[in-house]
Amino acid sequence: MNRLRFPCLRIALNSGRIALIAGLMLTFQGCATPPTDPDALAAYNEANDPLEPMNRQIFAFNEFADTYLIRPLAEGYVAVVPTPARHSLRNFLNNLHSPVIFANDLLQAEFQRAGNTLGRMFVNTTVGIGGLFDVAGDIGLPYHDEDFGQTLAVWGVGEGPYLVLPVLGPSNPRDAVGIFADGFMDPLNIYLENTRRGYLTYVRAAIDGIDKRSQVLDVLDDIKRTSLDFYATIRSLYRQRRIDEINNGEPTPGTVAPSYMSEKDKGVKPATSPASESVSEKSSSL
Amino acid sequence: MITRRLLIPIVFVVVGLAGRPAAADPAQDAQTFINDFGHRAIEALTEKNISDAELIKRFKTLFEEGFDVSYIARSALGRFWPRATDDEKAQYVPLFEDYVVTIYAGQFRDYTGQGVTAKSAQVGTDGVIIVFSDIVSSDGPPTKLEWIIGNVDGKPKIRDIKIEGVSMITTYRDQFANEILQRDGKIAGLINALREKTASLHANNG
Repeated sequence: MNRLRFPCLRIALNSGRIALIAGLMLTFQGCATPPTDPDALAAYNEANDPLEPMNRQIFAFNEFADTYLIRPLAEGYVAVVPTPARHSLRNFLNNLHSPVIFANDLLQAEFQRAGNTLGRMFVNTTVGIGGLFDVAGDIGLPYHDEDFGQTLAVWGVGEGPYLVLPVLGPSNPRDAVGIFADGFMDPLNIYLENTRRGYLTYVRAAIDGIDKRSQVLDVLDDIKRTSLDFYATIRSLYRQRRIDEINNGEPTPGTVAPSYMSEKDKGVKPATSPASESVSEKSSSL
Repeated sequence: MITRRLLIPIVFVVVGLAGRPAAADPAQDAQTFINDFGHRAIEALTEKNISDAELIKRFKTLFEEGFDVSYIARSALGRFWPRATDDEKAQYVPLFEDYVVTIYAGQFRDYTGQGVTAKSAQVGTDGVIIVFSDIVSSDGPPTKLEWIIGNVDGKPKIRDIKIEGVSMITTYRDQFANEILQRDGKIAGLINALREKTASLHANNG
């Protein structure tokens, strides 16, 4: 029991530091001013981004870090490491992540998915040689991700306002709490902290980040090139992806974007908000 | 005399035969539409050595044929559509189409993937049909694609595409609302932004 306190303390210190940084940023950035026009105000509320000035600054910083550090690393990684080796590393990282996915499956009462995760962990760690090969995926146990942010959403916690985290990117208070909780419940992290190799936690996170970034090199370039406002597009994409992830990718019947068409335009009533947006609509602050 | 053992299959056959031609299944029709449309689109757009201008021209023809363009344009403007002036609407709709066509046509320039095969379909709200399909990739899990099919004058037309839960219309609507908010709530501001962006995309293509 005593040994377990160390990671708690460490993580508490880290989150304290982040809270302090966030507090400082808030003091010199302030909030956006809501518009007065009713339609503009409705759009402003829908964007749910009262900290937009601060978020845009952090986003700009992240873009800078991406351009000069993260993207070049990801490009180099793709250029140097052959595809099969990259697949193996991804499989390995996914397998290391299994306990956290399993825990979140259970916390969401998704017992079949929990069984799937457990089966994957067993098969891939043994037959898949320590997780380097996704044997389980080939025999009908496909990978799925799960995190504590999603668990909180399933429990009914609202997302809160949009938040851009330094380096980690688009988020919200619920998902940010989720990131810490996931790090906290990861057995490998706990083991590393307890054996005074806590820095390896960050090394692993960095490798994971480079691998994730390397998978979206072209996609992100394309979005940046074609969008009117990269920041707003990422905000929209992040929200939509999270709702899909929270629903475990299950199609929600009748999910059609609301049309807002006036009756005189087509003789139909404007569609009400679809089920897919219900998750974000439930949101209240944390 | 017909025994019960024989009667049941006979009833099934008769009901089956009677049911089939009478009522066309809209979900099945929508799947056929997506399979056929997807097949023709891939054939036309992945032809080797066609110029960028020709690619955009072909995509535009397909887009207007298969998609409910006016519905998509209105929905993308969302709550701001009813308050746009007639002049703004007249400028916005063709600009929006040009913007979307330029972006999506570009996606097919180096496309080496395969066509779309409908997996299943279901009836959604407002009488739309949702057709589900996957894009299989050699590098990772399949990408989930949903087609929202509406009906214009008795013909099926695509109203929205959702890729891994990301809706085309929602993404544009969020972007456009943001653009209008950034420009003092003016739709004219969005029209300018669209015009500039599309011009720069064209310049990069040419």
